[in-house]
This record gives sequence, C-alpha cells and structure tokens, in this order.
Amino acid sequence: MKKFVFYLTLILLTLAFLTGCWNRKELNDILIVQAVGIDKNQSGQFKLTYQVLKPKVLKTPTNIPSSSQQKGVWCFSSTGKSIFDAIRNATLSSDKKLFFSHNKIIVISEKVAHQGIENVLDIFLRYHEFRPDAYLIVTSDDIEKFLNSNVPIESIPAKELENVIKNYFANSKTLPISIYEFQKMSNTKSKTAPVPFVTIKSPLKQSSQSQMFYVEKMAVFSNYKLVGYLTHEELRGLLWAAGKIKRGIYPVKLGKDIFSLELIQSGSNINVKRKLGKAFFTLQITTETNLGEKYSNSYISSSLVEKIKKEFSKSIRNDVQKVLKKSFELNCDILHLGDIYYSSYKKPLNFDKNSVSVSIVVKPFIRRFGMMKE
Amino acid sequence: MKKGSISNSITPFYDQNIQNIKNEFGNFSDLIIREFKIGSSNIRSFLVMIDGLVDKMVINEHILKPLMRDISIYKKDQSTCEEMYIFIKENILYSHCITEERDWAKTVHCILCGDVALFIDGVDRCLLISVRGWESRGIEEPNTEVVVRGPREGFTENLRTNTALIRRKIRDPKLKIESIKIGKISKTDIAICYIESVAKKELVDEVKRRLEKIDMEYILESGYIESFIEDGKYSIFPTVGNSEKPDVVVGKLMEGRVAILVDGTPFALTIPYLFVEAFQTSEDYYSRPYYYSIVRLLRYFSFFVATTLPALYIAVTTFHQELLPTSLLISIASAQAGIPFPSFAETLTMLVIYEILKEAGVRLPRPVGQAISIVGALVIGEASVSAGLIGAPMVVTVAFTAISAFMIPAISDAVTIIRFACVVMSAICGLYGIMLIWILMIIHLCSLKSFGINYLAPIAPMVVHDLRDVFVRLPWRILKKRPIIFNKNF
Repeated sequence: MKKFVFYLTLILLTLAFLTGCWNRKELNDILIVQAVGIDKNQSGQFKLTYQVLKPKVLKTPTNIPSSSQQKGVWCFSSTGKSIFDAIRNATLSSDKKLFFSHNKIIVISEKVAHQGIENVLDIFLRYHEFRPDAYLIVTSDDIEKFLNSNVPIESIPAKELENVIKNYFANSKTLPISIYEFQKMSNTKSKTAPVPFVTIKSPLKQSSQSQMFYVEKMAVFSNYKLVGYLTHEELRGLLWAAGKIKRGIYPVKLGKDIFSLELIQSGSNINVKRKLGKAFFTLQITTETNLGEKYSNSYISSSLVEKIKKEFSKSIRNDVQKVLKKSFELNCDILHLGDIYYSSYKKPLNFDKNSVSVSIVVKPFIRRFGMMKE
Repeated sequence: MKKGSISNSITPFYDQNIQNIKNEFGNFSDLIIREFKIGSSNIRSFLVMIDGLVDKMVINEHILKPLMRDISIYKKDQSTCEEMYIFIKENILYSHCITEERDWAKTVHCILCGDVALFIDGVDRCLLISVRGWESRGIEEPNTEVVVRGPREGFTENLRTNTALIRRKIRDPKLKIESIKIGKISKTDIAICYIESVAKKELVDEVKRRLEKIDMEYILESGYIESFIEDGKYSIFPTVGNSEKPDVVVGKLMEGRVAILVDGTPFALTIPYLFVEAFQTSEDYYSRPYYYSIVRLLRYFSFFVATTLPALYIAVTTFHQELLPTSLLISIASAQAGIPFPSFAETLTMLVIYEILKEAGVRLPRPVGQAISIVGALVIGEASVSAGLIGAPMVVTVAFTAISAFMIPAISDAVTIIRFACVVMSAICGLYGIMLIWILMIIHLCSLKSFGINYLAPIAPMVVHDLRDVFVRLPWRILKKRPIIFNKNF
C-alpha cells in the first residue's frame, strides 16, 4: 500500500512537470473555422479569408437563424507573406485564435490555381491542426464574396457547400476531392487531378438576397497547376474510366423520343496492351439501369430496348471519347492512363494521340421499367 | 458477600444464588426474579429473566403453571431437591430447548440473551429454558434490492429468522450453520453458513480464522465485520459482498461461497466477492436470459459512463475539439457560448451538487423528499441553464452519469471516487489523464484478491468455463454446472 501511494504520488508529480498537454483551450477561446479561401493580392501577398462560426447565433436548436442578418458565421480576411503568416496575422484583428481542425472547405482562387498550388497545400498537410480531408474547391468569383454569401437553408455556408459537392452521389457529374486525394492523384505518374469549380448564383432571377452554390465544371490540375476545365459530360467520361460512377441520369435520344435511364449499379475495368510501341487500352464498362422516364408513344418492346441500349452505349462511349480528346488537347493525362501503363510495364507512357488508343466496350442492362406497363 | 468474590459456579444455596444474581445485575429495572415453591412441597425455587426478551405467555402457561400446580399431581412432596430437579427436567417442563448449566458466566449470558433460568434450592445447577420472544420486524421486501420477478422476502434483524430463511431454501444437512460470538461487550451472535463439499475447506477455515481474530468491543452491523476481514483494506473497491435477500445468499452459497450472518442486521456478507458480481443481479437468473444478457452488457457500459463520461466531456471540449463531429461540436459550442466558467469548474460544480442532492435525498424524511426533486430538477437543471450559468450539454452529461451509476449500486461509491479522479486528471491533461486513471484502476483491480481469489477473475486470469456468467448470462441448461473458480486456485 505504501508502495502504491508512493508510485501514485510519483506519477502525479511527474505530470506536474511533464507538461506535454499544456495546450488547454476552452471552447469559448477558439474560433472554429469552417472554410478558408486563398487568394493573392496585388502586391503578391497571400490573402486568406476565413468563415468562422458564431456559436451564440447558432444557439437555436434548429440551427436556422431567425433572420438573414443573423447568419451563423462571419467572414474576415488577413494577409501575410506566407499562408501560415497570414493565418497568424488573423489574430491581429480577431479576438481569439483560429481553430482549423473542423475546416471543411479550402477555396482556391483561379489566379492562385493558375500559378500552382503545390506549396500552397503544404501547410494543410503539414500542420497538425488541419485535416487532410477538407474539400478543395476552385472559384473564379471574388473569394470574400464567395465565402460571405447568404445561403438559403444552412446557417453555415461551408456546410451547404460541402453538401452540394457531395451530391455527386446523385448526379455523377462532379467529383468531390479532398486535399489528400488531390495530393495522392497529383503524386502519380500522370500528375493530374480534377477539382470542382464552384460559382455562386441566384436561386431565382428576381431574388437578390440569397445565393446558391453551383458546381459549374471541373478544373483540371496538371502538376499542381490549373490547365483547363472539364464539362459535366467530360467529367462523366473520367468517372467511367476511374470506376467512380455512382447514381445519375442518362437521357437517351432515339429520333424524337427521349428515354431517361437511371444508373443503378456500374463498374468498369481498364486494361492495357503494348503492341508495336503503341499502347492499346481496353475500357470495359458494365452498367445496370432503370428506365425512369420516357417521352415517347411507342410501346416498350424488346427491339426498342435493344435500340435504347445501343444508343446508351454510344453516349457513354461518347463521354469517354470527349474527355480523351480534351486530354490530348491539354496534353495532360486526365484519365491516369499513364499509371495503368506504368503498373503493367514499369515504363512511362508516351502520352500523345498517335501512341495511345482506347477502345471502349459497354455492356448496358436495363433492369426495370418503372411502375407503368407501357 | 462482596461483588468481586462471586464464585464461578452455581452454589446449591438458595439465598446465595439470589444474592449472586442481584450482585451481578445490580439495580436492573428490567430484571425479574420470581420466587415460588414447587408444587405443594416446601422446596424453594426461583426464575430469573429479563423483561421484554422473554415470552410472558409461555412462562406463565408452560413453566410456572406446571411447576406450581401440575407437579403435585405426579410427585410426592417428600422427595429430595435433587430428585425433584431431575423430575422437573425430565417430566414437567414443556419447553423444547432446555440446557443444564453450572457456570455462572454462561448462565448470566443466556439470561441476557432471553433465556429463563430456573434455580432450585439445594441444587448446584440451573436449568436454562429457551423462551426467547421479543418484538421484531416481520419479513418484508428489502428496499435495497427490489426485483420485478423473484422472491420478495428479505432478511430481518433476527439471526434465527435469517438462518431459517436460508435453511428453508436448502433442505440438506450439508448446509452448515456454525455460530460464534464476536464483540467483547456486545457478544453478538455471528453465523457462518456454507455448504460442505461445495465450499472449499480452506476458504471456510480462513473465514473462521479471520473472524476469530476480530478484536472489537461491539458489533452493530455486518459492516464492522466486513472491515476486519476484507483483503483490500485500503481499496475503494469492496472485496466482501453483502445482500439483504436470502435467495441471493443461497445462490452464492451454491456457487461455493461462504455467508456470514450477523445478529441485529438484515445484511448478510458473502465471501469471496468478485468484481463481476457488481454487474449481476438476482433477476438475471430468474428471467429469460436473452434480454438480461443485454442488460448485463449495459451495466458494463454504465460503469464506463459513470466513471468516465464527465471527464471525457472535459477532455474533448478543452483539449481535443478535433475529435468531435463538426455538427456536435457546433451544438456544444453554441451551448457553451457565454458560460462564464471553464468546463472543468462547471463539471465539478454539477457533480458536487448532484452528490449533495443524492445524500440529502437519502437522509431526508419521506414527506420532505419531494422538495429535493423539485429543487434538483427545476432549480439546478432548468434554471441554471436558462440563467446561463451551466451549459445544457453539461446537465445532460451529469444526468446521464448519475443514472448510469444507479445501474451498478454495489460499487457506486468506488465509481464516484473514480469519477472525481478522472474529472480532475482530464482537466489537467485531457484524454491522457483519463487513460492514466484507468490504467491505475486496472492495475489496482488486478492486484486485489478476495480470500485468495483474484478480484478480476474470471476475466483476469481468464477462466473460460466461468465466463458464461460474466458478460452475458447463458441459459440454465448450460449454467447448471457450478463455477470452477472457487474450487481451484485462480
């Protein structure tokens, strides 16, 4: 027993001196950052804009502010020679220290993106307080205006923005990408990564009070630099090749008739073969769909189904071909074909139009035709 | 004759015996000495008893009446005192329990226990007739261990009633009830119960050895005994169990434990006591096993909550905000906004208030009890939140913690101490501090033993055979074999 007390006091004493966990910070002493925007001002200094929670306003249990003035967040910005410098300079004007562990969104201005973001992202991966699973976003809007927008539903715009880009599961026309995913994709042989390009727009023509986020297109980064944009269709081609297609709607046109197919379950597989110095890629796509809607008077017969399937395959092939064409245009390997090639042959792929060919095989299947007989 | 010179044995002289009694007891207001002559003879005789400890009806009808009247029908008056004594003992007294006694000290003790002593002139012995009958509480449902299904009888303050309650459940001569007296002045009756061939002999001997070593002037409750025989004398965890229910005690006896009953208290001790017993209730065994297996797992969870939840709250809100999901952090942050105290002070205040409320609620007379709940629920729960003194999540945390502690009443005092230790340590060094307390606690639990059996058994050391009644309660068809832990050296 004496021994026990002795060791207990010893441990407690060492604790007093071993101040390993000294950084006690009460919830009332931190500013919880939800989104951060990165831009450069005229003099070339970094200008960071922060979207910070106002806990007192969020006190209502439903998290909905009573009026539009009562936003759950407020935004402010600071400048500095580096990003870390700018973050610390924020305390020159804010009453509390910024707390980044719950940062959801990193918005990068088009200007910074064109200049390259390899060094910009360094602190977000290096400093312990940042989370590598925050989503990256590029915008051409003014960052201050972008972050300070009045969103209609959530009292925290960053939360709404996060939800919007996560909706990729329903449409398969964008791809949310976190910092570590971006870093992972950029660190490959292909060195390309897509990032959502988001703008703000009015929900209705006449309304001016609130704004909505809109994922307009995808920015393509090659070697950490913004090189071009992908449309929604082109991005679908990328998702097919990467096997990341989730749910989505494919309207198939047959003459005047339109059939909307809903993607239920899809998979893809890509292989490479080398022949005569050329790389032949085979992309196999299997997809299961439901018929969701039809603009047609014709009965659904098996011959019509075959026609729809044929047209559907064609439009999938078309999407992939489009992104491939864009790849050659921008001269960057958006589909990460080089990685596939490298893993098979341990050699870098000579990425140009003449030495790369992709053949696409689509196996569509229509499972159900909905609740109507016709 | 002087008081100090009382001889150790009973004298054959009538007057001397009366004088001795008077010397021994002095001016007792509740001492009754009834002098009479046996039958129609001239043999003088007297009864000694303590008023209130004896059954008056029995004495009048079955002792005095035969001795004073009925005896003359059978016995001639000319017989000697000695003959008369033997005749009375063998033919006259209708009592079920008569002992002959020569020793003064034992006689006095028996009188104090509620026996009636019959002294006859010219005989150097007395007859101790058991007519014990005093006011006592009936068998009621115990307050501490309430069950929905299961026997509702509880022990009483009367040792004989208690042993009878146990005996009634096990009709086998293997159930041994041995009795000793402890307490130099109180001379309290203690009964050691065990089932021969089920309880290990070494265990029974060890219990007896420890009981005999007790040097105490009086024993008022089994808690006195517990503190003298327990292993971890400085431990916050109990290593001797107690129960108010005969069925619980019998269940433990059948597993190979020893029970100690103390006269004057309805709480029986059971030995050895293991950590896992705190998570078992009698109802687990009486109901169907599936639901109560879940409940038992919940009790382990409650133990974690009751010890650690307030500390976790402090650690997460002051050191590790990144661990919370964002939406949860936002609601906590919005509730904490404007609270003037750091969360440690807040937690400590709430926990102390809760302990005060609990203690006050137990001691208060029943009619005043309502005031406590109003003060607790309204003033502390509602008003302090709306006044902005305490955050609502804090109230939820403390309330949940308090309720969880009620799931494991057997070790709730230890749980409270650990809770405060965790809170203080988490305020100093976050989750690291909580881990430190838990490591210390587990080291301590591993080092504890109860009568030679590891306190954490059958978890550590693991006894797979006995694990079927630890985290879950398996059906009786599997459980019917007795645990092996008490019969081997674990």
